[in-house]
Amino acid sequence: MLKKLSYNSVILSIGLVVAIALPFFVGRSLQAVAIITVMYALMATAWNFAGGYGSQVSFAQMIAFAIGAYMVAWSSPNATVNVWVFVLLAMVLSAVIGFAIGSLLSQRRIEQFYFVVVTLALTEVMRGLVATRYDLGGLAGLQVPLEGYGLELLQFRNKVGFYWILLVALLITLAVIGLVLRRTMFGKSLLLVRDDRDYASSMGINVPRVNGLTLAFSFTVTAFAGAVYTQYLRFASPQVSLTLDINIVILLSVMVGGVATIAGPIYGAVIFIAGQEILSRTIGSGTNLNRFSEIAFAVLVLIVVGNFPHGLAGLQRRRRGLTQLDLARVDSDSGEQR
Amino acid sequence: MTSQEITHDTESATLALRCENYTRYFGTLAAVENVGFTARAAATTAIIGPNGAGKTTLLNLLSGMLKPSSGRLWLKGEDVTQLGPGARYQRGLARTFQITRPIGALRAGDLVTLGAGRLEKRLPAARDKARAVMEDMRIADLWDVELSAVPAAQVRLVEFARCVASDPEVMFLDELMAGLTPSEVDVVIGLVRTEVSRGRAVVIVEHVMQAVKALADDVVVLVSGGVLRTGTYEEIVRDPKVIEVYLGRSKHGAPADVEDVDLSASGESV
Repeated sequence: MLKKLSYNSVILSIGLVVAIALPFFVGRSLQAVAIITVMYALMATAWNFAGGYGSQVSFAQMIAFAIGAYMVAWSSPNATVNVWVFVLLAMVLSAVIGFAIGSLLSQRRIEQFYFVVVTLALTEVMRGLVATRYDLGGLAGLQVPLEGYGLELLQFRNKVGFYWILLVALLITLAVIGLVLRRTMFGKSLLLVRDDRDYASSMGINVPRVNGLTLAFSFTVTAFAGAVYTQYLRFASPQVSLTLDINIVILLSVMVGGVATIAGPIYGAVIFIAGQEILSRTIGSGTNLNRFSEIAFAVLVLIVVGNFPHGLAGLQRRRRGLTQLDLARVDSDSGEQR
Repeated sequence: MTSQEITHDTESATLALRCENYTRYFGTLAAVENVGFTARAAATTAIIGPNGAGKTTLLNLLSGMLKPSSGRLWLKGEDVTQLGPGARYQRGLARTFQITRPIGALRAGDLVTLGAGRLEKRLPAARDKARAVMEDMRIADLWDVELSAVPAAQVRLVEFARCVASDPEVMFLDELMAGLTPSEVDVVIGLVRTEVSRGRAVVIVEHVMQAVKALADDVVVLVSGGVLRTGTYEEIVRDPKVIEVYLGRSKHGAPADVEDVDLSASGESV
């Protein structure tokens, strides 16, 4: 137990130091990569809570993302109220919608493949709704006018500000997930609900409620990411804020990094965003060679997913199972406690 | 006949579970038909019968996983017929599962803690209780082990511990002994006895006659979805009808004593 804790804290400390130091050592363009990477890490972490620890392979994350995006984009021209109010509003609204989707689908036993299909369809419905709304800019989207800079306006003259705010959000999200998993009955019930819902409900666990709450949390975090991203781009549109591409990259990040691990989604996001960017730069960009970098990257992903089913995080995660030898020992001196 | 007295003594305080006229159809087939039996507190009731007799269906009906076509069920005098498995569990009716599906990522200790969570709503208290139960059963070493890494025989114990930790009034044990070596069976028999001595009503569905003989105060013999016979172990093993069901009509005449025959093996082959 102690060994494991110190190991985790070492990794966490190193990661944190690198993350904090990074913006001071890289140029503007790499800073942009860092911002997007942290945003994906945040969203992949959120996805992993519902899709990794939970059973909800969600393709509806963009609904929450778009709620965040459009809430700030729509509100900003009529800025009598602070933008943060709308960020919070978006998070609350996303939580409610996430709970509704998660619990209703769970109640109707729409799971696994069917869950994927239904959430995909919901995203399309959302896209249709937004694209045909004139007051939301339709397909053309909405510009976010610049009214000044500062944390209270969620705008930064130096774009690194977005990096910091996303990093803080990521740390808070990780802390919350860690606490929930370790310190609450709810967290302990997650894996059981994921792996065998009938078994879980026979123990009096309210499965739809658990699924609703997990997706609600996932949506809340994703809505925040959507709002920050929109402030960063100063633009929201169905193409940018409601694209399935983002959802797919989130999912792949978690798969490559390690499903149902704390660090996995972060590894995955770093590999996916930073890795892809660096690969395309070294191999060459703006030319036909750029295609080649995408292919090379796809091969890399296939290799990782094919050879390490538990993702990159699974590499350093020693299975805590006992070997047969250990078990023989357990049998002979069982009752002895650590 | 003791079992008959028990059946009529419905208001007795020691009566933990009573089911009456339980019937379940699958299509036109009656998987369970007019089953009635009682389980006393601080006693073990064994449900035995050849494969296909409807034991698993009955267990699923009693624990609420299935709804009966007709019949009623009382738990400590309360009619729980309409309640789902979760609600029955909350009222103190717990069962073990023959875990076949992987719930591998969960740690053994966490599973037992979730069991303790029935009465201990706060995690630290539930965890303490779970640990105590696992220590009692001498499986505390498995606390931090993921279930996928726990060998089958030990998974049974973890599942049993999960059930015990929920502090149930009535406990169904679904073939807890299947696949265990005779010496392992003896260990589990001891553990079950401990729970009976704590006043729980234990209902075992079991093929392993070693366990039935050692544990059962009352035996319910289920055949083709119906109750063939209830009685003590000594009574049922000498009942010609029971012997016939288990062994079939022998050309050489029925064996003198059913105990000479491995009931579980013949039960499997039916």
